[in-house]
Amino acid sequence: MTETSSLAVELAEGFADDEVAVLVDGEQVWHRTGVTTNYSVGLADVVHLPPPPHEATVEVRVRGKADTQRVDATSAAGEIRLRARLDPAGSLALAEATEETRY
Amino acid sequence: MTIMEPNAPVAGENLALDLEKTTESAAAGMAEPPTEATTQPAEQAADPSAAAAPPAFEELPTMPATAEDAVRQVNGHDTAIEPAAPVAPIPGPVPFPLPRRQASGRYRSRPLGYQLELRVDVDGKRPLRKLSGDYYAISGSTVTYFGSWTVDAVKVTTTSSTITVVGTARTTWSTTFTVAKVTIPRAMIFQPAPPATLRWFTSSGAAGATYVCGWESAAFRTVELEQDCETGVTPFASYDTGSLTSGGAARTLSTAGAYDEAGVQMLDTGGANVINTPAGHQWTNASLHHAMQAHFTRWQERPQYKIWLLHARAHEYGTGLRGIMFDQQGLQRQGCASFYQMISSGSAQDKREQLYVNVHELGHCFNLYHSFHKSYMNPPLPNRPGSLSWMNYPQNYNPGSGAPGGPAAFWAAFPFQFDNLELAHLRHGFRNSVIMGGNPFGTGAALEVTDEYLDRVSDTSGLRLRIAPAQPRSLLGTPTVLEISLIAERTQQVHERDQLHPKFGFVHLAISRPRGDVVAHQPPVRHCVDPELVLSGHDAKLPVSAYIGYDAGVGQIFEDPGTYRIRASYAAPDGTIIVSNTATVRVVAPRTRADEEVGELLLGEQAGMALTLLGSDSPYLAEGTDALETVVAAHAEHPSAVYAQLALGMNAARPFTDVDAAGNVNVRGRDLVRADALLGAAIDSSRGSEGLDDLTVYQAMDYLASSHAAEGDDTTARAMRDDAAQLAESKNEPDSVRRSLEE
Repeated sequence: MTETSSLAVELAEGFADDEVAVLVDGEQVWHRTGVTTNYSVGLADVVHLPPPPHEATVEVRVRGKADTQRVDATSAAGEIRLRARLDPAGSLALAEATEETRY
Repeated sequence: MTIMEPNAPVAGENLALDLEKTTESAAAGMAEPPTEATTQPAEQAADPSAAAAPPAFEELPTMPATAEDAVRQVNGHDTAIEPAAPVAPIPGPVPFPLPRRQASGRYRSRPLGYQLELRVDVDGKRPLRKLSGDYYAISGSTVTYFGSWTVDAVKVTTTSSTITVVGTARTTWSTTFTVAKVTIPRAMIFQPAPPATLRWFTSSGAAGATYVCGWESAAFRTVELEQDCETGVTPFASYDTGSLTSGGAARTLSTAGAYDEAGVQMLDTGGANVINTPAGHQWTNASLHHAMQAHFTRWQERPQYKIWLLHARAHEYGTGLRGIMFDQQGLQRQGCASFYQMISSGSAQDKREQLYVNVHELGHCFNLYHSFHKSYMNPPLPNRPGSLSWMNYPQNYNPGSGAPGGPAAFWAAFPFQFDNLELAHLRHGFRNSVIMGGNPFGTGAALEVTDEYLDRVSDTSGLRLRIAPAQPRSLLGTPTVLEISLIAERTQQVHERDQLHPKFGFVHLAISRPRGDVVAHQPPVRHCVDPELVLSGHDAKLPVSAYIGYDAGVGQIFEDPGTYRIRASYAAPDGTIIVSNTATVRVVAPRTRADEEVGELLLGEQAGMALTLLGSDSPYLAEGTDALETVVAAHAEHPSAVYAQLALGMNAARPFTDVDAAGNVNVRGRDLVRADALLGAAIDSSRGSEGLDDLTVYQAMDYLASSHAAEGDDTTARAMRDDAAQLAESKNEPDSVRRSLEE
């Protein structure tokens, strides 16, 4: 069994003064209002969470929409990174990601 | 009497009589033969009743009109000039041709009611053939920004003695004086830079204000840069672009040098502070903003061409973050930071990265978005992932057409410059879209389309443009039809109703799609016509309907379920750009098997083109025509069948001429039996609130009537026109529509 050092949820493009909640297995672990993407880096925020000790469902909620991803910290090494983005039409997508170079 | 705007005859300098002797007509720059322009009589320009009548030159105080002026004075450059100062003669004979001084650069007028900062861009490095300027209103000792203007395309006429630049301007305020004519005497390289004289005209040639502007700088803009440094960070100095493979000429570039190549002067104000931080310190956006307020000695909460750049080590967002334009509180875009944590080895790669990061972050301060984020701007623009620009991400570089992308391809081709659209923004963007502390980040962030779709600061044109989709909520595959209406509140000349269709080029559309891109709609068929103008007023409404589902560039536009946002702009005869409301079309997924089949048939590329052409016999569109035939035959009851009936019926109602490979011309005559059947079905299905939109129904009825008339059947034609007129009257259509059915 490998060990995951951290779980990060990037709130990326499309956020504009939004109220955002991050849940793990249905329990809210992070909540903030006024979340707004800084397009100089394409990020609104990076939510760092302790890696769940078992396979879990991470959910992002914003504007009455939600999307989920299953993460398994028990089998992934290093950091698990998820990226949530709202497209210009307001559709929410949460997907696995790798940390990318941003400017 | 009050000067209302700076282009009008009573504004500017009282040079009418002098200029009358030497200035050619504005028309000389636009059309042949030249005609003498009407100049404003001096007594009118100097009317003492004019609140802002220009004072005599001797009475003018010397004062900094803008922050930029203050900078200039600090730096000891006095720009006061005599109006239309002649170029000093060259002493003695010249045995060989001497280089001429470039005309491009920044000029400034004297503060006479208004002060103009004029930018001429016709020669020198990467000339964009544009003019632009910012007006400042002078009132006593106060100076207020008034507005900006840009000429996107100019005609340049060069003689041995002068350069003349003419074009039509877009302005942030409403004016009829939209034709700008700039005249600059030509000078040898060692002679003093001559002034530029700007004269405004209406499109019909009536003269407006004149501004004589002294040469100020070869740079189009000047920005003060204050740089501070975190403990232990060695700030970037320069990079030899020949050190590694690249797409441009090898040269040594500093951050300021990169901007100098773009035509922007970066003045380093010196005084770099070292900001002490504890080991392992990570910056947050809040702490960066606080540091800016504490250490940026020239920071103020107001628009000014001043930037603070912090050379720092690390940000809380992680090691992947190389830089950030963090200032998004209050008046934005005044500060940015570069993070050296991962790029400080001193290698060529790291030096290149440092140069890229610093130029890139400062680009954000000028309100430039990433090449791949343009669709998130306000209003949105198409993304440009294939751009070889400071503002693209190397890893996101995608030139398209299957060509290699990614960082290796980017760096191999990158010429270390901004792309042309960004260059146009940096040099000629409207002042508030560019200046630090101006518009919020992302608003008005690119010149080429953005300004066209921005809401106007003031609109006294007396014109309104309204758009509405025929079906705000439609099934995937349903042809999207937009009603475009121009309303003239007061009497003036506008384009006749039919010419408001986008295919004539006077109305443009931008469509934001759910997939994240924006389509600047290019109709597949364009009609090049002379403008036909009509007098309209008293809130008269000129509506036209247009099928906008198929595009010359992207093909089918509405091919995904989701929400589409549409905005239109109309170029009025006097050059005024009228921007519409934003219309929304919600495309929903098929619900039944028939929905799926019809959607599939109508979303084919050839079907889109066949719908655009309203049918065709061309064998090159056979697949599309077959799709429409299948919809009519197999799905006659489906709501979208009326569109197939319309296209096939209109095609049957007109002859089709085919030229075969041997050059033989074959004409298929009208098939009015088929046309009656198809169009009759479509019309009858649409008399109520379902089916085709009303304007398309009238168009179909009118066309069918004309076809019958062309075949000598006046009785049927008359009956059809009467039917159309009654239907239009029952639906309370505006006069312009009802009149068109009587013609």
